[in-house]
Amino acid sequence: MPIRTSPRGACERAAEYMKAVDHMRDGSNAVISGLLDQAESVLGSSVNMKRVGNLGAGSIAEGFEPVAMKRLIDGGSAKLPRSITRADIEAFGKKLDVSSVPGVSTATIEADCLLKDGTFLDMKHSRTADPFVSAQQVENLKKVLAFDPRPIQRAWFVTNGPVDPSVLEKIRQANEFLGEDLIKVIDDIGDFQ
Amino acid sequence: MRLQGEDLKHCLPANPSVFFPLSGELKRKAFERIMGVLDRQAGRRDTTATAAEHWSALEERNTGSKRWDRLVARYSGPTESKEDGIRQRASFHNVGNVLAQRPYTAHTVEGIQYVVDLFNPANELEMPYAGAGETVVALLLRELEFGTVQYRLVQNAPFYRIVREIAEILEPECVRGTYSMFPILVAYLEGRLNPKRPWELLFPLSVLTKPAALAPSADLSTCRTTNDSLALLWPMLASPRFRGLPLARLFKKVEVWDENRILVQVWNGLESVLRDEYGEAARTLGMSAVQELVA
Repeated sequence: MPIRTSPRGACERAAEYMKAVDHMRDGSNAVISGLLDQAESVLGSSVNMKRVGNLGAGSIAEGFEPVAMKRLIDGGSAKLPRSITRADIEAFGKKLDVSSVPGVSTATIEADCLLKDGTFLDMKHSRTADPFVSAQQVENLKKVLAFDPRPIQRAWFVTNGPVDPSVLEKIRQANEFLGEDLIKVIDDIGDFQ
Repeated sequence: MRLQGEDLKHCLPANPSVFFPLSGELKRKAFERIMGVLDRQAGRRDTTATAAEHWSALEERNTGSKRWDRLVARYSGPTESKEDGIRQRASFHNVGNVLAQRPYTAHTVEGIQYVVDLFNPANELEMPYAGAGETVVALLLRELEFGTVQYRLVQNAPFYRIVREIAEILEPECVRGTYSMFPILVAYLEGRLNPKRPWELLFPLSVLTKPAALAPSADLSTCRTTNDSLALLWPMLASPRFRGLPLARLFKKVEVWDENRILVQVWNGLESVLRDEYGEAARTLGMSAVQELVA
Protein backbone atom coordinates (compact mmCIF):
# COMPACT_ATOMS: atom_id res chain seq x y z
CA MET A 1 0.00 0.00 0.00
CA PRO A 2 1.46 3.36 -0.97
CA ILE A 3 2.13 5.70 1.90
CA ARG A 4 0.69 9.18 1.41
CA THR A 5 3.00 11.90 2.60
CA SER A 6 1.90 15.39 3.44
CA PRO A 7 3.14 18.23 1.28
CA ARG A 8 6.05 20.10 2.74
CA GLY A 9 4.87 22.49 5.45
CA ALA A 10 1.42 20.95 5.75
CA CYS A 11 2.00 19.70 9.30
CA GLU A 12 3.24 23.06 10.48
CA ARG A 13 0.28 24.73 8.81
CA ALA A 14 -2.21 22.35 10.41
CA ALA A 15 -0.59 22.82 13.81
CA GLU A 16 -0.76 26.60 13.57
CA TYR A 17 -4.41 26.37 12.55
CA MET A 18 -5.32 24.10 15.45
CA LYS A 19 -3.46 26.27 17.94
CA ALA A 20 -5.23 29.34 16.58
CA VAL A 21 -8.68 27.73 16.87
CA ASP A 22 -7.91 26.52 20.39
CA HIS A 23 -6.89 30.06 21.34
CA MET A 24 -10.16 31.62 20.14
CA ARG A 25 -12.26 31.17 23.25
CA ASP A 26 -14.78 33.50 24.83
CA GLY A 27 -15.24 34.43 28.48
CA SER A 28 -16.85 31.10 29.28
CA ASN A 29 -13.96 29.23 27.60
CA ALA A 30 -16.13 28.11 24.66
CA VAL A 31 -14.63 28.33 21.18
CA ILE A 32 -15.88 31.55 19.61
CA SER A 33 -18.95 31.20 17.41
CA GLY A 34 -18.37 30.41 13.77
CA LEU A 35 -15.28 28.24 14.11
CA LEU A 36 -16.85 24.98 15.31
CA ASP A 37 -20.44 25.40 16.34
CA GLN A 38 -22.30 27.23 13.62
CA ALA A 39 -24.81 24.94 11.99
CA GLU A 40 -25.47 25.54 8.32
CA SER A 41 -28.78 27.25 7.86
CA VAL A 42 -30.87 29.33 5.55
CA LEU A 43 -28.98 32.29 6.97
CA GLY A 44 -25.92 30.87 5.25
CA SER A 45 -23.29 31.17 7.98
CA SER A 46 -20.32 28.92 7.41
CA VAL A 47 -18.51 26.58 9.78
CA ASN A 48 -14.83 27.37 9.56
CA MET A 49 -13.45 23.98 10.62
CA LYS A 50 -15.86 22.05 8.43
CA ARG A 51 -14.73 23.96 5.37
CA VAL A 52 -11.09 23.56 6.31
CA GLY A 53 -11.64 19.83 6.83
CA ASN A 54 -13.16 19.40 3.39
CA LEU A 55 -9.69 20.01 1.94
CA GLY A 56 -11.40 21.41 -1.14
CA ALA A 57 -10.62 24.58 -3.05
CA GLY A 58 -10.30 27.43 -0.60
CA SER A 59 -9.73 25.25 2.45
CA ILE A 60 -6.31 26.80 3.13
CA ALA A 61 -7.76 30.27 2.72
CA GLU A 62 -10.43 29.28 5.24
CA GLY A 63 -7.78 28.02 7.65
CA PHE A 64 -6.00 31.34 7.24
CA GLU A 65 -8.85 33.15 9.04
CA PRO A 66 -8.21 32.12 12.66
CA VAL A 67 -4.46 31.96 11.95
CA ALA A 68 -4.47 35.55 10.74
CA MET A 69 -6.47 36.64 13.79
CA LYS A 70 -4.03 34.88 16.12
CA ARG A 71 -1.10 36.59 14.41
CA LEU A 72 -2.82 39.98 14.75
CA ILE A 73 -3.53 39.33 18.44
CA ASP A 74 0.10 38.29 18.94
CA GLY A 75 1.28 41.63 17.58
CA GLY A 76 2.40 40.25 14.24
CA SER A 77 1.50 43.36 12.28
CA ALA A 78 2.89 46.87 12.29
CA LYS A 79 -0.09 48.03 10.20
CA LEU A 80 -2.77 47.14 12.73
CA PRO A 81 -4.33 50.47 13.80
CA ARG A 82 -4.61 49.33 17.43
CA SER A 83 -3.81 46.22 19.42
CA ILE A 84 -6.56 43.64 19.68
CA THR A 85 -7.24 40.69 21.96
CA ARG A 86 -9.47 37.68 21.58
CA ALA A 87 -11.95 39.41 23.91
CA ASP A 88 -12.52 41.90 21.07
CA ILE A 89 -13.88 39.19 18.79
CA GLU A 90 -17.65 38.96 18.33
CA ALA A 91 -17.76 36.01 15.91
CA PHE A 92 -16.27 34.35 12.85
CA GLY A 93 -18.07 33.82 9.55
CA LYS A 94 -21.17 35.91 10.17
CA LYS A 95 -23.31 37.34 7.39
CA LEU A 96 -24.66 40.85 7.78
CA ASP A 97 -27.85 42.19 6.27
CA VAL A 98 -26.95 45.14 4.05
CA SER A 99 -30.02 44.84 1.83
CA SER A 100 -31.32 48.26 2.89
CA VAL A 101 -28.07 50.09 2.10
CA PRO A 102 -28.45 52.22 -1.03
CA GLY A 103 -26.56 51.04 -4.07
CA VAL A 104 -25.11 47.85 -2.62
CA SER A 105 -25.12 45.01 -5.16
CA THR A 106 -25.71 42.21 -2.64
CA ALA A 107 -28.17 41.59 0.22
CA THR A 108 -25.46 40.36 2.59
CA ILE A 109 -21.76 40.67 3.23
CA GLU A 110 -19.85 38.06 5.21
CA ALA A 111 -17.40 39.04 7.92
CA ASP A 112 -14.68 36.40 8.16
CA CYS A 113 -14.25 37.90 11.61
CA LEU A 114 -16.37 40.57 13.28
CA LEU A 115 -15.10 42.56 16.24
CA LYS A 116 -17.36 43.83 19.00
CA ASP A 117 -16.60 47.44 18.08
CA GLY A 118 -18.04 46.90 14.60
CA THR A 119 -14.77 46.22 12.78
CA PHE A 120 -15.37 43.97 9.78
CA LEU A 121 -12.42 41.77 8.79
CA ASP A 122 -12.15 40.12 5.40
CA MET A 123 -9.26 37.64 5.12
CA LYS A 124 -7.69 37.21 1.70
CA HIS A 125 -5.28 34.39 0.99
CA SER A 126 -3.72 33.10 -2.18
CA ARG A 127 -0.92 30.56 -2.64
CA THR A 128 -0.31 31.36 -6.28
CA ALA A 129 -0.95 35.05 -6.85
CA ASP A 130 -1.56 38.36 -5.15
CA PRO A 131 -4.45 38.03 -2.68
CA PHE A 132 -7.53 39.04 -4.65
CA VAL A 133 -9.80 41.83 -3.50
CA SER A 134 -12.41 42.66 -6.11
CA ALA A 135 -13.34 46.19 -7.05
CA GLN A 136 -16.97 45.26 -6.35
CA GLN A 137 -16.14 44.27 -2.77
CA VAL A 138 -14.45 47.60 -2.16
CA GLU A 139 -17.36 49.43 -3.75
CA ASN A 140 -19.91 47.60 -1.59
CA LEU A 141 -17.93 48.26 1.59
CA LYS A 142 -17.65 51.92 0.62
CA LYS A 143 -21.44 52.14 0.33
CA VAL A 144 -22.03 50.24 3.58
CA LEU A 145 -19.61 52.51 5.44
CA ALA A 146 -21.12 55.62 3.86
CA PHE A 147 -24.59 54.69 5.12
CA ASP A 148 -25.98 56.30 8.22
CA PRO A 149 -26.69 54.40 10.43
CA ARG A 150 -23.66 52.24 9.75
CA PRO A 151 -24.05 48.49 10.20
CA ILE A 152 -20.27 48.28 10.64
CA GLN A 153 -17.71 50.84 11.76
CA ARG A 154 -14.71 50.05 9.58
CA ALA A 155 -13.33 47.31 7.34
CA TRP A 156 -9.92 45.69 7.25
CA PHE A 157 -8.64 43.38 4.53
CA VAL A 158 -6.09 41.03 6.09
CA THR A 159 -3.91 39.34 3.46
CA ASN A 160 -0.97 36.94 3.24
CA GLY A 161 0.83 39.30 0.90
CA PRO A 162 0.56 42.55 -1.04
CA VAL A 163 -2.59 43.20 -3.04
CA ASP A 164 -2.69 44.65 -6.51
CA PRO A 165 -1.85 48.41 -6.64
CA SER A 166 -5.08 49.06 -8.55
CA VAL A 167 -7.02 47.74 -5.53
CA LEU A 168 -5.06 50.01 -3.20
CA GLU A 169 -5.97 52.93 -5.42
CA LYS A 170 -9.64 51.91 -5.31
CA ILE A 171 -9.47 51.79 -1.51
CA ARG A 172 -7.79 55.20 -1.41
CA GLN A 173 -10.62 56.63 -3.52
CA ALA A 174 -13.23 55.00 -1.29
CA ASN A 175 -11.64 56.49 1.83
CA GLU A 176 -11.57 59.90 0.19
CA PHE A 177 -15.32 59.65 -0.38
CA LEU A 178 -15.86 58.46 3.18
CA GLY A 179 -13.85 61.36 4.56
CA GLU A 180 -11.59 59.13 6.68
CA ASP A 181 -9.52 55.96 6.36
CA LEU A 182 -12.24 53.45 7.22
CA ILE A 183 -10.98 50.74 4.84
CA LYS A 184 -7.48 49.39 5.43
CA VAL A 185 -5.25 46.64 4.12
CA ILE A 186 -3.11 44.70 6.60
CA ASP A 187 -0.67 42.71 4.50
CA ASP A 188 2.34 42.23 6.79
CA ILE A 189 1.40 39.23 8.93
CA GLY A 190 3.32 36.75 6.79
CA ASP A 191 2.47 33.88 4.52
CA PHE A 192 0.52 30.69 5.28
CA GLN A 193 2.00 28.04 2.99
CA MET B 1 -45.65 50.61 -10.80
CA ARG B 2 -44.90 49.77 -7.17
CA LEU B 3 -42.24 51.48 -5.12
CA GLN B 4 -39.27 49.10 -5.07
CA GLY B 5 -35.49 48.74 -5.11
CA GLU B 6 -33.49 51.89 -4.48
CA ASP B 7 -36.64 54.05 -4.31
CA LEU B 8 -38.07 51.84 -1.57
CA LYS B 9 -34.78 51.97 0.36
CA HIS B 10 -34.89 55.75 0.13
CA CYS B 11 -38.44 56.04 1.46
CA LEU B 12 -38.05 53.53 4.28
CA PRO B 13 -36.72 54.88 7.62
CA ALA B 14 -33.13 53.71 7.99
CA ASN B 15 -32.79 53.45 11.76
CA PRO B 16 -33.64 50.43 13.90
CA SER B 17 -37.17 50.91 15.24
CA VAL B 18 -39.80 49.55 17.56
CA PHE B 19 -43.28 49.26 16.08
CA PHE B 20 -46.66 49.47 17.79
CA PRO B 21 -49.50 48.43 15.42
CA LEU B 22 -52.76 49.93 16.65
CA SER B 23 -56.31 48.69 16.19
CA GLY B 24 -57.51 52.28 15.65
CA GLU B 25 -56.11 55.74 15.08
CA LEU B 26 -53.40 57.35 17.18
CA LYS B 27 -55.12 59.83 19.46
CA ARG B 28 -53.59 63.17 20.41
CA LYS B 29 -54.01 62.43 24.10
CA ALA B 30 -52.02 59.20 23.72
CA PHE B 31 -49.31 61.02 21.80
CA GLU B 32 -49.04 63.66 24.53
CA ARG B 33 -48.73 60.93 27.15
CA ILE B 34 -45.90 59.36 25.13
CA MET B 35 -44.20 62.76 25.06
CA GLY B 36 -44.61 62.83 28.82
CA VAL B 37 -42.87 59.47 29.15
CA LEU B 38 -39.95 60.62 27.02
CA ASP B 39 -39.75 64.02 28.75
CA ARG B 40 -39.58 62.30 32.12
CA GLN B 41 -36.98 59.74 31.06
CA ALA B 42 -34.78 62.23 29.18
CA GLY B 43 -35.18 65.27 31.41
CA ARG B 44 -35.19 67.55 28.37
CA ARG B 45 -35.85 67.60 24.64
CA ASP B 46 -33.11 67.64 22.01
CA THR B 47 -35.00 69.87 19.61
CA THR B 48 -36.85 73.16 19.74
CA ALA B 49 -39.99 71.70 18.17
CA THR B 50 -42.99 71.54 20.47
CA ALA B 51 -45.21 68.53 21.06
CA ALA B 52 -48.01 70.43 19.28
CA GLU B 53 -45.84 70.92 16.19
CA HIS B 54 -44.83 67.27 16.27
CA TRP B 55 -48.47 66.20 16.50
CA SER B 56 -49.46 68.42 13.57
CA ALA B 57 -46.66 66.93 11.50
CA LEU B 58 -47.80 63.41 12.36
CA GLU B 59 -51.40 64.27 11.43
CA GLU B 60 -50.20 65.52 8.06
CA ARG B 61 -47.95 62.51 7.67
CA ASN B 62 -50.89 60.23 8.45
CA THR B 63 -52.47 61.27 5.16
CA GLY B 64 -49.57 59.72 3.25
CA SER B 65 -48.73 63.01 1.57
CA LYS B 66 -45.33 63.51 3.19
CA ARG B 67 -43.39 60.49 2.01
CA TRP B 68 -39.63 60.98 2.32
CA ASP B 69 -38.97 61.29 -1.41
CA ARG B 70 -41.35 64.26 -1.53
CA LEU B 71 -39.17 66.05 1.01
CA VAL B 72 -35.70 64.88 -0.04
CA ALA B 73 -34.73 63.53 -3.45
CA ARG B 74 -32.80 60.27 -3.66
CA TYR B 75 -29.11 61.01 -4.23
CA SER B 76 -27.92 59.73 -7.58
CA GLY B 77 -24.86 61.90 -8.10
CA PRO B 78 -21.19 60.91 -8.11
CA THR B 79 -19.69 59.07 -5.14
CA GLU B 80 -16.09 60.13 -5.38
CA SER B 81 -15.21 63.18 -3.31
CA LYS B 82 -15.75 63.91 0.37
CA GLU B 83 -18.31 66.55 -0.69
CA ASP B 84 -20.22 63.87 -2.65
CA GLY B 85 -20.34 61.82 0.54
CA ILE B 86 -21.74 64.74 2.52
CA ARG B 87 -24.43 65.32 -0.11
CA GLN B 88 -25.38 61.65 -0.15
CA ARG B 89 -25.58 61.41 3.65
CA ALA B 90 -27.89 64.44 3.71
CA SER B 91 -30.41 62.45 1.64
CA PHE B 92 -30.66 59.34 3.84
CA HIS B 93 -33.94 58.76 5.64
CA ASN B 94 -32.32 58.62 9.05
CA VAL B 95 -33.16 60.26 12.37
CA GLY B 96 -30.71 63.14 11.89
CA ASN B 97 -32.20 64.09 8.54
CA VAL B 98 -35.77 63.47 9.70
CA LEU B 99 -35.24 66.04 12.46
CA ALA B 100 -33.93 68.49 9.87
CA GLN B 101 -36.96 68.00 7.61
CA ARG B 102 -39.88 67.41 9.97
CA PRO B 103 -40.78 69.46 13.08
CA TYR B 104 -40.44 66.46 15.38
CA THR B 105 -39.28 66.36 18.96
CA ALA B 106 -36.43 64.06 19.99
CA HIS B 107 -35.23 62.79 23.34
CA THR B 108 -31.93 61.22 24.35
CA VAL B 109 -31.73 58.65 27.12
CA GLU B 110 -28.52 56.71 27.83
CA GLY B 111 -27.00 56.99 24.37
CA ILE B 112 -30.18 56.45 22.35
CA GLN B 113 -32.08 59.25 20.65
CA TYR B 114 -35.81 58.49 20.42
CA VAL B 115 -38.17 59.93 17.81
CA VAL B 116 -41.88 59.09 17.49
CA ASP B 117 -43.00 58.58 13.90
CA LEU B 118 -45.54 56.54 11.92
CA PHE B 119 -44.66 53.51 9.82
CA ASN B 120 -46.15 53.30 6.34
CA PRO B 121 -49.07 55.69 6.99
CA ALA B 122 -51.83 55.43 4.37
CA ASN B 123 -49.70 52.72 2.79
CA GLU B 124 -47.29 55.34 1.44
CA LEU B 125 -44.84 52.53 0.64
CA GLU B 126 -47.40 50.91 -1.69
CA MET B 127 -47.08 47.50 -0.04
CA PRO B 128 -49.29 44.51 -0.89
CA TYR B 129 -49.50 42.97 2.61
CA ALA B 130 -52.75 42.56 4.52
CA GLY B 131 -53.30 45.55 6.75
CA ALA B 132 -50.87 47.81 4.90
CA GLY B 133 -51.66 51.39 5.85
CA GLU B 134 -52.98 50.56 9.32
CA THR B 135 -51.82 52.92 12.05
CA VAL B 136 -48.41 51.79 13.29
CA VAL B 137 -46.51 54.02 15.69
CA ALA B 138 -42.77 53.73 15.08
CA LEU B 139 -40.24 54.58 17.75
CA LEU B 140 -37.09 55.40 15.76
CA LEU B 141 -33.82 54.63 17.58
CA ARG B 142 -30.61 56.48 16.81
CA GLU B 143 -27.51 55.20 18.53
CA LEU B 144 -25.26 58.10 19.47
CA GLU B 145 -22.36 55.71 20.02
CA PHE B 146 -21.89 52.73 17.72
CA GLY B 147 -23.39 49.57 19.17
CA THR B 148 -25.75 51.10 21.73
CA VAL B 149 -28.75 49.81 19.81
CA GLN B 150 -27.16 47.17 17.58
CA TYR B 151 -24.97 45.32 20.07
CA ARG B 152 -25.67 46.52 23.64
CA LEU B 153 -29.39 47.26 23.78
CA VAL B 154 -29.95 44.48 26.28
CA GLN B 155 -27.92 46.47 28.85
CA ASN B 156 -30.01 49.63 28.39
CA ALA B 157 -32.65 49.45 31.13
CA PRO B 158 -34.36 52.78 30.25
CA PHE B 159 -35.06 51.50 26.73
CA TYR B 160 -37.21 48.66 28.05
CA ARG B 161 -39.00 51.00 30.47
CA ILE B 162 -39.79 53.41 27.64
CA VAL B 163 -41.08 50.65 25.33
CA ARG B 164 -43.25 49.19 28.06
CA GLU B 165 -44.69 52.54 29.12
CA ILE B 166 -45.51 53.44 25.51
CA ALA B 167 -47.16 50.05 25.06
CA GLU B 168 -49.26 50.66 28.17
CA ILE B 169 -50.45 53.96 26.69
CA LEU B 170 -51.14 52.69 23.17
CA GLU B 171 -52.37 49.18 23.98
CA PRO B 172 -51.12 47.96 20.61
CA GLU B 173 -51.95 44.65 19.03
CA CYS B 174 -48.28 43.69 19.53
CA VAL B 175 -44.84 45.25 19.82
CA ARG B 176 -42.02 44.45 17.39
CA GLY B 177 -38.47 45.78 17.09
CA THR B 178 -35.97 45.27 14.31
CA TYR B 179 -32.88 46.58 12.60
CA SER B 180 -34.62 47.03 9.23
CA MET B 181 -38.04 46.41 7.70
CA PHE B 182 -36.54 46.24 4.21
CA PRO B 183 -36.13 42.43 3.95
CA ILE B 184 -39.77 41.98 4.97
CA LEU B 185 -41.04 44.46 2.40
CA VAL B 186 -38.93 42.91 -0.36
CA ALA B 187 -40.29 39.47 0.57
CA TYR B 188 -43.81 40.81 0.04
CA LEU B 189 -42.90 42.33 -3.28
CA GLU B 190 -41.37 39.02 -4.39
CA GLY B 191 -44.40 37.03 -3.21
CA ARG B 192 -42.42 35.11 -0.58
CA LEU B 193 -44.45 36.14 2.44
CA ASN B 194 -48.12 36.40 1.55
CA PRO B 195 -50.60 36.27 3.14
CA LYS B 196 -48.95 36.90 6.50
CA ARG B 197 -48.92 40.32 8.11
CA PRO B 198 -45.43 41.55 9.03
CA TRP B 199 -46.28 41.40 12.71
CA GLU B 200 -46.85 37.63 12.57
CA LEU B 201 -43.09 37.13 12.18
CA LEU B 202 -40.67 36.80 15.05
CA PHE B 203 -38.72 40.05 15.19
CA PRO B 204 -35.41 40.39 17.06
CA LEU B 205 -37.53 42.03 19.76
CA SER B 206 -41.11 40.83 20.11
CA VAL B 207 -43.78 41.21 22.73
CA LEU B 208 -45.73 37.98 22.58
CA THR B 209 -49.39 37.79 23.52
CA LYS B 210 -50.77 34.88 25.49
CA PRO B 211 -52.32 32.46 23.00
CA ALA B 212 -55.60 30.65 23.19
CA ALA B 213 -55.48 27.55 25.37
CA LEU B 214 -53.99 24.39 23.92
CA ALA B 215 -56.00 21.20 23.66
CA PRO B 216 -55.11 19.05 26.71
CA SER B 217 -53.87 16.16 24.58
CA ALA B 218 -51.49 18.20 22.42
CA ASP B 219 -47.71 18.03 22.75
CA LEU B 220 -44.90 19.84 20.98
CA SER B 221 -44.57 17.20 18.28
CA THR B 222 -48.14 17.86 17.15
CA CYS B 223 -47.92 21.64 17.24
CA ARG B 224 -48.54 23.03 13.79
CA THR B 225 -49.40 26.64 14.52
CA THR B 226 -47.86 29.55 16.34
CA ASN B 227 -50.79 29.49 18.74
CA ASP B 228 -50.22 25.84 19.70
CA SER B 229 -46.45 26.22 20.04
CA LEU B 230 -46.83 29.35 22.13
CA ALA B 231 -49.59 27.82 24.24
CA LEU B 232 -47.32 24.92 25.08
CA LEU B 233 -44.29 27.08 25.81
CA TRP B 234 -46.08 29.95 27.56
CA PRO B 235 -45.89 28.51 31.09
CA MET B 236 -42.14 28.08 30.66
CA LEU B 237 -41.62 31.59 29.27
CA ALA B 238 -43.67 33.06 32.09
CA SER B 239 -41.97 31.01 34.79
CA PRO B 240 -39.83 32.86 37.34
CA ARG B 241 -37.36 30.00 36.93
CA PHE B 242 -37.14 30.53 33.14
CA ARG B 243 -33.42 31.40 33.21
CA GLY B 244 -32.68 27.90 34.44
CA LEU B 245 -34.61 26.17 31.66
CA PRO B 246 -33.11 24.92 28.37
CA LEU B 247 -35.37 27.29 26.43
CA ALA B 248 -33.57 30.24 28.02
CA ARG B 249 -30.56 29.82 25.73
CA LEU B 250 -32.71 30.99 22.81
CA PHE B 251 -33.23 34.45 24.25
CA LYS B 252 -30.91 37.08 25.66
CA LYS B 253 -33.83 38.78 27.35
CA VAL B 254 -37.24 37.65 28.55
CA GLU B 255 -39.36 40.15 30.45
CA VAL B 256 -42.80 39.16 31.70
CA TRP B 257 -44.94 42.30 31.45
CA ASP B 258 -48.12 40.81 32.83
CA GLU B 259 -50.04 37.54 32.61
CA ASN B 260 -50.85 38.16 28.94
CA ARG B 261 -47.67 39.71 27.52
CA ILE B 262 -44.02 38.68 27.49
CA LEU B 263 -41.16 40.56 25.81
CA VAL B 264 -38.54 38.33 24.23
CA GLN B 265 -35.31 39.43 22.60
CA VAL B 266 -33.21 36.89 20.75
CA TRP B 267 -29.81 38.57 20.83
CA ASN B 268 -28.16 41.59 22.44
CA GLY B 269 -29.52 44.29 20.14
CA LEU B 270 -31.31 45.20 16.93
CA GLU B 271 -28.46 44.32 14.60
CA SER B 272 -27.61 43.56 10.99
CA VAL B 273 -25.82 40.31 11.93
CA LEU B 274 -27.70 37.23 10.69
CA ARG B 275 -27.40 34.66 13.44
CA ASP B 276 -28.83 31.16 13.34
CA GLU B 277 -30.29 31.82 16.76
CA TYR B 278 -33.04 33.94 15.18
CA GLY B 279 -34.30 31.06 13.06
CA GLU B 280 -33.95 28.58 15.92
CA ALA B 281 -35.95 30.76 18.31
CA ALA B 282 -38.63 31.35 15.68
CA ARG B 283 -39.04 27.66 14.90
CA THR B 284 -39.34 26.85 18.59
CA LEU B 285 -42.20 29.34 18.84
CA GLY B 286 -43.82 28.06 15.65
CA MET B 287 -42.97 31.26 13.79
CA SER B 288 -40.62 32.50 11.05
CA ALA B 289 -37.82 34.96 11.74
CA VAL B 290 -37.39 38.28 9.98
CA GLN B 291 -33.73 37.40 9.34
CA GLU B 292 -34.71 34.36 7.31
CA LEU B 293 -36.20 36.68 4.71
CA VAL B 294 -32.91 38.35 3.80
CA ALA B 295 -32.21 37.32 0.24
